[in-house]
Amino acid sequence: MKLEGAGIPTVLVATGELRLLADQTAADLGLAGLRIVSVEHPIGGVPEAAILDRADAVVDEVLGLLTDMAG
Amino acid sequence: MTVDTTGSPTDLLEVDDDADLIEVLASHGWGDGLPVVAPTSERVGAMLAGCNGHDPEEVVASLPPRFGQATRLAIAVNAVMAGCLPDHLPVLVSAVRALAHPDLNLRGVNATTHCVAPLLVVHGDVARTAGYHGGLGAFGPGSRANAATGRALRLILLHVAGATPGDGDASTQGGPAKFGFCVAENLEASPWTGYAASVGVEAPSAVTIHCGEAPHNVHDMESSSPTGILDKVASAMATTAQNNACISQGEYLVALCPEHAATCADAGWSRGDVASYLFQRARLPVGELKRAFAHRAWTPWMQSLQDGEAAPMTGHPDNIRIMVVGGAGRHSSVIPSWGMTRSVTVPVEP
Repeated sequence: MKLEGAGIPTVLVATGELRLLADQTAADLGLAGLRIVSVEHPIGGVPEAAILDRADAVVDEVLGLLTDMAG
Repeated sequence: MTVDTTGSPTDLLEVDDDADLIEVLASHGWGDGLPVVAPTSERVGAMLAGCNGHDPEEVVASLPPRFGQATRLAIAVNAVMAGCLPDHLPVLVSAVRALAHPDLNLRGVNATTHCVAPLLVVHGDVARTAGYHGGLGAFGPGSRANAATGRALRLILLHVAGATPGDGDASTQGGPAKFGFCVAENLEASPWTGYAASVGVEAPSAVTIHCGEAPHNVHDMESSSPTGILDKVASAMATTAQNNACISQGEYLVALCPEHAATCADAGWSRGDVASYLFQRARLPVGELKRAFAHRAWTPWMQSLQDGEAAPMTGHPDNIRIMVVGGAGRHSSVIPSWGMTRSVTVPVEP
């Protein structure tokens, strides 16, 4: 959110369980329109391979949001 | 009944005299679940007398995550709700200043899944004049000053900072310290200078905010030497179950009971000696810590330690904060910090 606030296009990735906190924090910081992508919860205690799978599942969405911003 | 709910004189809520105030507040998402004193304009005005004419509308601090503006008026509203007296208000205002200090990292404290709660410690003259308790059972019930001020600080976090569970406070389990966590340093029973002066705050009265876990008990009836007692304190510190274990800037507040402190002081140990000894003795094997934490926010010299060596639970003896709390008996406590926070001590000023 600091990056977005500094004018650097940003996509925030949050787990589903913490999405409410992410949305509210963005709004509190004046970034209600911040692009937020949800991934499966949790991150902690999950094998690295599973983390990579979760990243793969959303990477197109993240890139799409960044590309849309560029467009 | 007209209730001042937000700290602004224009934000008044009309409530029937026979209404259930807890339910009225809950319908707005306010309160901590316990009964409150109705913050009527008259009561809030009387509370503000505790600030000796200082501007009620002045913003004392902006508190994350919502960055709500904590004016003296807003602080006074929550003080009334919690059951404070006007003498408690300067302590509460000063505590809010400490909460907002950048070193404390209140945004992180509220956002983490950890059970951290801000512990408010009251030092010096105001502890005596306003009734703060540092003696027998100090962390428990019985003192209006401790209970009401600790609760008021939490109400400020809920109502002004927006630290509501879910969208403003992500704590996995919460914790009883999140209802209220306030105590006085027992300066009369301390063999050492006051804690505030020891960290460079020379004032008749001061407050410290230490963001940590609930107290971990240390029982020692047997030892007649500092080392016996402090080895048990060290054992309470040395666990992989704390955030501090992988964050070398983490602090430990060690609240020694008067009898344990006297045993140390009678042997010629200063507060600094106690901290240095605990720094040496509260250690775990590096290999064990590496197995427990793939990533460690350790200072570079700790990162260089080899598996067969013992790593301290924090990066510097100064991170082990010593003060005297409690009454008769031989039970002390360790309060590990959340890790990514530093305790803050400020003078009490209205």
